[in-house]
Amino acid sequence: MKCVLVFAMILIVSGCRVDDELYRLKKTVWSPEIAIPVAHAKVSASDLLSKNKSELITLDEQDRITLSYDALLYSKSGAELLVLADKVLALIPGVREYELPFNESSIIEYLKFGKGQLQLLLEGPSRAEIAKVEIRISSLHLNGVPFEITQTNVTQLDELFDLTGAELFFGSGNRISAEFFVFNEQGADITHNYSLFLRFKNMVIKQAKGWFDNLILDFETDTISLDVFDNWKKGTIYLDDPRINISFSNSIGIPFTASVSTFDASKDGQGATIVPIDYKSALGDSFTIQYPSGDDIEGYVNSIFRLDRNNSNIRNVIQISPSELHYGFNLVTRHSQLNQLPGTITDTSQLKVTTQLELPFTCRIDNVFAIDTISVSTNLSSELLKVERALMEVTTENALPLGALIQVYLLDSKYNIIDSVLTDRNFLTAANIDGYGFVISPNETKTSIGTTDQQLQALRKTQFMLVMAQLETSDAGQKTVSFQGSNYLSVDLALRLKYKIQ
Amino acid sequence: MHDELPQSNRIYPQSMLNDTACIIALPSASFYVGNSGFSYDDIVASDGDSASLTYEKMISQLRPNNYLNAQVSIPFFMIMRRWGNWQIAFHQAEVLSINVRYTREMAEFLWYGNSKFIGKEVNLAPDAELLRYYESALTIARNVGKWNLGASFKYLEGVSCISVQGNKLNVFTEMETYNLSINTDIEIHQSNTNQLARIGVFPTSWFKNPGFSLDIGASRSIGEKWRLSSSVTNLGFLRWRRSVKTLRSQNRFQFDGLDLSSFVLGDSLNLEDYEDSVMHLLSFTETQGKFTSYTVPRFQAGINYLLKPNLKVGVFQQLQFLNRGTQLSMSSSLIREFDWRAHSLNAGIHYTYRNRTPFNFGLSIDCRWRFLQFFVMSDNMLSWILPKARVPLSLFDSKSEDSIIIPKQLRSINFHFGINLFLTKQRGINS
Repeated sequence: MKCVLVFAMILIVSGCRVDDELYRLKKTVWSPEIAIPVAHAKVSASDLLSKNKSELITLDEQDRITLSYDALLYSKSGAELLVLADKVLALIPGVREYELPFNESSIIEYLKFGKGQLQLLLEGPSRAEIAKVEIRISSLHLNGVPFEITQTNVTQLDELFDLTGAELFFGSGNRISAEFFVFNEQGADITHNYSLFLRFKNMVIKQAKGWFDNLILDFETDTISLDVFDNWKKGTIYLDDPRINISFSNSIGIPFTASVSTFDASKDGQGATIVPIDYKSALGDSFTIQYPSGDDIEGYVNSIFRLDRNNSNIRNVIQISPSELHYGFNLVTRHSQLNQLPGTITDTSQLKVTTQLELPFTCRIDNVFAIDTISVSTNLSSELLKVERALMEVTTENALPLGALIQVYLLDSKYNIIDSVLTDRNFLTAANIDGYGFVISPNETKTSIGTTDQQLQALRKTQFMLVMAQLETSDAGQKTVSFQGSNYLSVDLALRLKYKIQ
Repeated sequence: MHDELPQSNRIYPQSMLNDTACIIALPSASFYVGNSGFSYDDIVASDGDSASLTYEKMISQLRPNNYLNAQVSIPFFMIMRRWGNWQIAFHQAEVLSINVRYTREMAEFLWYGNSKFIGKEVNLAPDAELLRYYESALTIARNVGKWNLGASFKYLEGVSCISVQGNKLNVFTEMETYNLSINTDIEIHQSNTNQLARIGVFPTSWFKNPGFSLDIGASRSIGEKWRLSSSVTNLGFLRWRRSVKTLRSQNRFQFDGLDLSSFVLGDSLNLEDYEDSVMHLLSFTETQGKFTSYTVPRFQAGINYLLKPNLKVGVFQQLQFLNRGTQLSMSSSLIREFDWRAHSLNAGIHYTYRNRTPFNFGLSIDCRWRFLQFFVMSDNMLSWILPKARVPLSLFDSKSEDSIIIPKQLRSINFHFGINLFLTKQRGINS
């Protein structure tokens, strides 16, 4: 009985105890492991190749991709060719034809003014004697009628006439017909005492017809930037049939002769590597640009010249993955009265020179390294302190005829390599191709990337990531493949992260 | 509960007084709190003066479905009268009923993260029903030979309610890609939520949120010593009509990671769509329609055997039909009657298996002195003896300075006490 009582007392005494330990609760470390989809992307070959959007993508009937870089090198309007300085003709009594030169090497048949003024200035010994002045410029038509004026009781002749819409018809040798007569009050011809000055001012020519020889068009060298190769270092891309199309669209009705002044490619834009482009087989020393003739003065006539693997070294040039193409042309008119018909220039006619680099992505890529650097958010370092374990799951479905071995280097703020996350992991296995180099089925790859404690330590110090991909087309880069618009790459990134939260 | 107490008719409506008698029960109290999942010791590890939380141990104690229940009942009064083979009783009481179901998966998801559930759908929505209501019960019992039959008809007046129904907050993590699908289908019905904890207040208005509940039961004597009893209680509902509000979330969110397709190609990353989707997922639409909530039905059965004229043994089991599961408790008892002059005393010891805890040893005493009867009982006396801990409520509500004391090793606490007035010389109830 005593034992029972003692036991009961112990129970009661111990039962009276109320612990306050929860008022001194230690921090709890919570380490959940979360699995989340980080990102996914599905991009087509077209999107990938035209990432910088400075180029055009075209697909042919077999869905093959061609990248095109277009550049408008030169555009010249007729108005720029039809610039005339003010001209002054001094009319002499008794002479009817005067030369009005357009330029040294041009022979003009016809001019039509868009704007302009004609000043008539009569100079002589005495004005008081003048009773009547008659002036006739039969080559000049105002409102379709030859120019002719008669003025009486003239004390001073200094008249200004608007030439808008006026036409000027030239005789041979750039000559126009003009004459004037001066009479006194008695009706006597006193022209021999006077001179008449015709001043053509502020002329804007709307249309000109004739022979325009040896007009030299101003040219500047132009550059096409090729960003498609920006991140591709080392190795070779063997594009099967790259080509350059040079197109002259001409509505200026006179013939031009063109010659190449510059044609080369450079790598890195620094001129460190300059490869001349051999164009002689395709273009010769000079080449003629077609022009509209006859009545079709508003229509364009195109002259297209192509440099390809058969007539140039363009394929070898592209193999160096150039970053820029440089080119320039000299253009000069060759228009002789001896053996050519007259041509017409209007102020709206134009000559446009465009250059197009076409890169059909039928190629083989062997051991090419693509490199890119990614800046790491500063917040990542503090977040990574809480990470105990990380596992990234990468699932790719590659329907591109291009595979990649990828390695990621972790860099500190001074770009020193701290560690590497991947070691030659075969993320992307090139798609399976048929005998013609077309993709027949995608390849799916699943990769788990775990991180060691050392890598986590390195990640915490990382400021930049250097992503290096070694690329090669199907069959180890030995076979030519065709990139098609329907080719794609799908990537799913998922992450398992064991986190430490207090 | 002692069969001899008039209050036992709340478990067995067929319970009858031994003879023509009249009893008035004064205000009493009945209190029960239980957590089937874990005890204090399962989640707190004492380390001298301080403590640390042991979630892993707590989770290891959980079953697929776990219940947190509380039932507070305050009978304001009861009057019971027997005439011959008939008995009528009327009582009014206030009831606070809390039933929350939580799953082991929920706890594991929150503690371990979703990695543990890759390729498996997890429902993170708890079931919960918190009701406060008044009941006015008319209980009729009749003796037919060896049978006692009884039924209790209860009018319920709802005061306050929070009911989470249609509960779906499913999270699915796909294999390999870990793509997340989240589906919600949750309805939270509310009525007068600010009145939920104001227990002990007599009702001032009626018929605003009416309800009805039914208890039925039967007992049979076998010979002189055996008695079998069973009942079904709390078959009822409440129709909430006043100050009602229903919050509904029925959304779907699919997260496959950020779509970098355009970002890879040089465009900026647009996160607004994702933010909108997440905000939409968490958004609730609010309506103000009537709704119905249900009381928790219970099935009771027991056997008593009279060892001696003043010594009785019995077994009792109760099955509660909770949302998406049942909760079973079983107990056995030994009750001895002591007579001393005109007074009597019944003392009992009880053993109960409840909430997966076998350590529930209870005591009960009812004592009658002349016309006055006093009783107090608990299924778990150890809860008053074993070590306890003070739990600051600031752990859950930073503004609160209050604390509660809970036993460390037990998963439930209960007690009942009350006073009855006997208006006749009758001693008690015969079953």
